Amino acid sequence: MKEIERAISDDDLQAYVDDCLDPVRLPEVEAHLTAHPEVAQRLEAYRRQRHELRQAFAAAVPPQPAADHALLRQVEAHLARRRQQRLLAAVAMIAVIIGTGVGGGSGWLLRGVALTSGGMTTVAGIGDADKDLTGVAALAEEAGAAHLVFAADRKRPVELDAAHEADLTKWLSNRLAHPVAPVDLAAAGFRFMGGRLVATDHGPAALFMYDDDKGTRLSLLIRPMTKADMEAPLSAVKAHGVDGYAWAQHGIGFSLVGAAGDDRLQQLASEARRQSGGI
Amino acid sequence: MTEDRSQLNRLADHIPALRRYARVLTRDGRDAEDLVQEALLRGVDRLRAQSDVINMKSWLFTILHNLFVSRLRKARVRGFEASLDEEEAIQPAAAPSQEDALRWRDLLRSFDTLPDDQRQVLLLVAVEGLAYAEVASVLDIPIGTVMSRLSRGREKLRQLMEGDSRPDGRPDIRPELRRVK
Repeated sequence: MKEIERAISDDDLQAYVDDCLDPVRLPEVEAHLTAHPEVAQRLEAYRRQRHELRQAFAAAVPPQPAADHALLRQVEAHLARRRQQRLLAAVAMIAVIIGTGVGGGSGWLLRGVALTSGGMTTVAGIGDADKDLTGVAALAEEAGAAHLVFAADRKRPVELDAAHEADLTKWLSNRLAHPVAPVDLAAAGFRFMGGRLVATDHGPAALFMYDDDKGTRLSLLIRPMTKADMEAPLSAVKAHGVDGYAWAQHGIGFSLVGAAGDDRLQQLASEARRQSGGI
Repeated sequence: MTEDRSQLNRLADHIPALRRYARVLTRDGRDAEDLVQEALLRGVDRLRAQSDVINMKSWLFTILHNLFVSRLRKARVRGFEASLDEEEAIQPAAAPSQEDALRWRDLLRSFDTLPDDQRQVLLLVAVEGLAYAEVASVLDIPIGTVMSRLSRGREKLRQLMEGDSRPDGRPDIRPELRRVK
């Protein structure tokens, strides 16, 4: 049954180059190459070519750990958004069940996921938490999402810590093409921990993180505003279940979010706003 | 969270390979990064529904390739013909020796003159080490087509590098290869 006399095809030769030739076939191909040195020479050139292509691509597309990291953070933020959406969908589903069971009395829950009342903007929708948000509402949404992902990270909440503040500030200012710096909230009991670059739907943003003695963390997100709200007064925001404040000055948006309690948070935000006015 | 973490780690391993393929597809570093990002996002979304992905690398290549094809189609529909030919060649960023660097640059320049379908197959097989069947699945073409593109691409590139320029670029398949011994 052995087909020793089978023709050597071009496919066999390619497979020989790629080291994936059927072992049974190998001696036949080798015999063929011995009989045809010019073919052997050509295949040797292909092997060399493969080796050199690998080297050339390794040099042309070198490892980019920082870019990898940024990509993974985006994936992470994407996953966090998805989680949030599923949660909201589940809440909405429960609300529907309660609503129909009780007879409409709990219908407010359905609207409750996207309401605006008393000057507080609640940013969250079913299925599309970030749909078409602009201005400080978008900024607050991004701050909330970033806070959820990074403040919860016990091990590595920041990419560069406070000891590298100068590097961090320089890096973020370059990436945002605008000078940014952390504000000093130490007088209010919050230490500067460090920060990182985060990706938002509106471009790169700087994220600075703070904590107090109880381990409460605050996130301050800063980025250039794109269209709306180039100037915006301090306003209370809530996104992804995180309380905070947002404002914009001279085309730069700020959002300070975290679980510090409303009064304290407002004081902190006012202080941050006062300091950032000089940036 | 832990589930997400393991998904991220699975993806992270393949980012450099995705970046290489994206560069071959787009011939443009900036578009390439964007393409990789979208492929990763699609990847994690699909991983949720499809937890039994065995060959992560070729699975991600497939997503990236399809994404690229659909973008290209959209661009054509909009009337902007994606510029595929006259873009600048991939430039090696760093090299251990001058001689190697020059040779790699020449190699990539020659590589960039190959037709797109041959460049894709050659990268996936020779650089990324995918099996022929995997390449066929990524590109959604018969395995015979993979083989002929591979053969033509290799031969053309060899000729370009050896200065044996044949303008038609057709591989020099010798008649005896097809003949019964």
